[in-house]
Amino acid sequence: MPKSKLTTHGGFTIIEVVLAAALTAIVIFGIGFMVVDSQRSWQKMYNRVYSDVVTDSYIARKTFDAVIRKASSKTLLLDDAGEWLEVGYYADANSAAVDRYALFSYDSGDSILSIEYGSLDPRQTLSIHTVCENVTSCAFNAAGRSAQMILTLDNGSQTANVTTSAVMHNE
Amino acid sequence: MNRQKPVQSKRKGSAIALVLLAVVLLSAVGVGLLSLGLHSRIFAIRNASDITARCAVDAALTKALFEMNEKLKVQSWNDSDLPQTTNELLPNCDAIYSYTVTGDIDSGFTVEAIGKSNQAERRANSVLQLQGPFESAIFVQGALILKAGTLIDGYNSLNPGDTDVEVKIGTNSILPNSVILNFGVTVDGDVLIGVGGDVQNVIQNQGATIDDMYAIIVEVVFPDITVPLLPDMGTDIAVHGKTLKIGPANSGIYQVIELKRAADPGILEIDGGEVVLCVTDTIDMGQDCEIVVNEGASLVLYLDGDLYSGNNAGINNKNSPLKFKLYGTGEVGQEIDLKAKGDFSGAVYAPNAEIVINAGGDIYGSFVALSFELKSGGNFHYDEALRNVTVDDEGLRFVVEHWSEQ
Repeated sequence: MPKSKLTTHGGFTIIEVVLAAALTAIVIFGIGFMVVDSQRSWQKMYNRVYSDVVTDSYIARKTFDAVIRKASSKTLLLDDAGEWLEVGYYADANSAAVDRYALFSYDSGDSILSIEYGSLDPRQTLSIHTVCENVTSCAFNAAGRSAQMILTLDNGSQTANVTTSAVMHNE
Repeated sequence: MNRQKPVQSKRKGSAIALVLLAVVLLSAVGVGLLSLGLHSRIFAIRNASDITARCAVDAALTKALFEMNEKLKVQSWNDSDLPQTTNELLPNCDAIYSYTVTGDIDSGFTVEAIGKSNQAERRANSVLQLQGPFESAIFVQGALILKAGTLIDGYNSLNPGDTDVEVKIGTNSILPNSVILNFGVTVDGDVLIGVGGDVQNVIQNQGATIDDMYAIIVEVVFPDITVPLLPDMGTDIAVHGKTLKIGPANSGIYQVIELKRAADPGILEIDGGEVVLCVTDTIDMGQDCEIVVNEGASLVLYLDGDLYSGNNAGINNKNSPLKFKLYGTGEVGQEIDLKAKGDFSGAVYAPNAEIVINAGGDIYGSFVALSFELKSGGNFHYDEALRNVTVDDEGLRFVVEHWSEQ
């Protein structure tokens, strides 16, 4: 009568299996948490650098700076409520007089800051551009030959505050 | 007893692969974060550098303008040795600036300025313009009072066809009632008040008609007057009951001008060309006495003391306002009592003087003073030709006429 063959495989107790499963779960959970957190941090940082609110605020600052610096201080017009600001400027180096205007205005209904360029004599609109969207508040100030814009942008997930000033270099 | 070696599993493990995958993912995210941080930092540095370069180019222009105005204070102007500098360090930062002034007094001057900070560079060009003290019809540091019914308008004695003359009167003051416009005053232009002033508070409008009124955004500067080098005549000009005619050869420094009436009024006639008088004390004109600037002549008068005019006395310039200029060089509180039997024609720059004017006719010219009161006379006509200045005029300064950035 043949003798039954003994197996050489060692078995796992239920405790070993549970312990191994728990350890594996902890490791996987830890790694997963790190990956997800890293991805979230990356996304957050990316938004801080490249989100529409940030890039819009940068463009608003650059536009305001470029327009105000070439403006004529004598032509400054400022809304009493500070919602719009208009300056005149020379169209180019050959202009004998201030012949163009730029009008910054905030439309609270559409939440946009726009700039209108035009000629002064005769007064005629040449173009209107949207400087930035998602504007929740915008105020203009002026003191001496300086003008200031205080802007808040908010796209629902991120807020950017811009406070920029520039000096009008032309009389 | 032989012990059996446990048989190794032939199945491949997945732990290493999982760990490697996690390492790769984490590395990718880490590199991404570092990259973002780097870009963010570079972006911030570029912004900061751009702002610093902007400050540097502005500083360059400001310094060039200052240097030009310092050069202007030298009595005789020359077009050589114009201000310039290269790679000068802007204090308290790492920016440098350069500027070059080119041009000449006839064709004008241009400032080319460069500001650099790290990789950022800003360039700006400015055209400079000479500006004299007579830019406004009447401008004062304090009070300005116009009698009822006065018309203030403008003309150009060098170009009668120029009817579009910008007329401005105003004050640097923001004190209440600094400008009093009595009933019937008409200003064919604007009324200006000091920086930050309230027009309703500063201007007392008793029924005047004006184009516009507003606060200026930059305080008007009153440049100092430099008395030219003149011979000290060591005497006074005293004319009693007669007429004394003087010409260019009599230009010089006198202590007093005194015109008194005897049987006839004392009259000082300016004749034969440009006469420059510097009076270190007072000018006293008695009843009916006059200083007359004959046709073709001109008088530039520097007055350190007061000017008194008796009844029916006055200054009679028979030419355009360009031919009679009075520069008050006295301390604050200098008194200038101007009269004219008929029209008054002239320009007065006396930033420390209280001027009162009584004219028999109209007034032509421009006034800059500490305070100004038009008591009697006709209308006031600002001569725009007074804006045309030469380098030999007084109270000049360079201003930026046109600024552009590349």
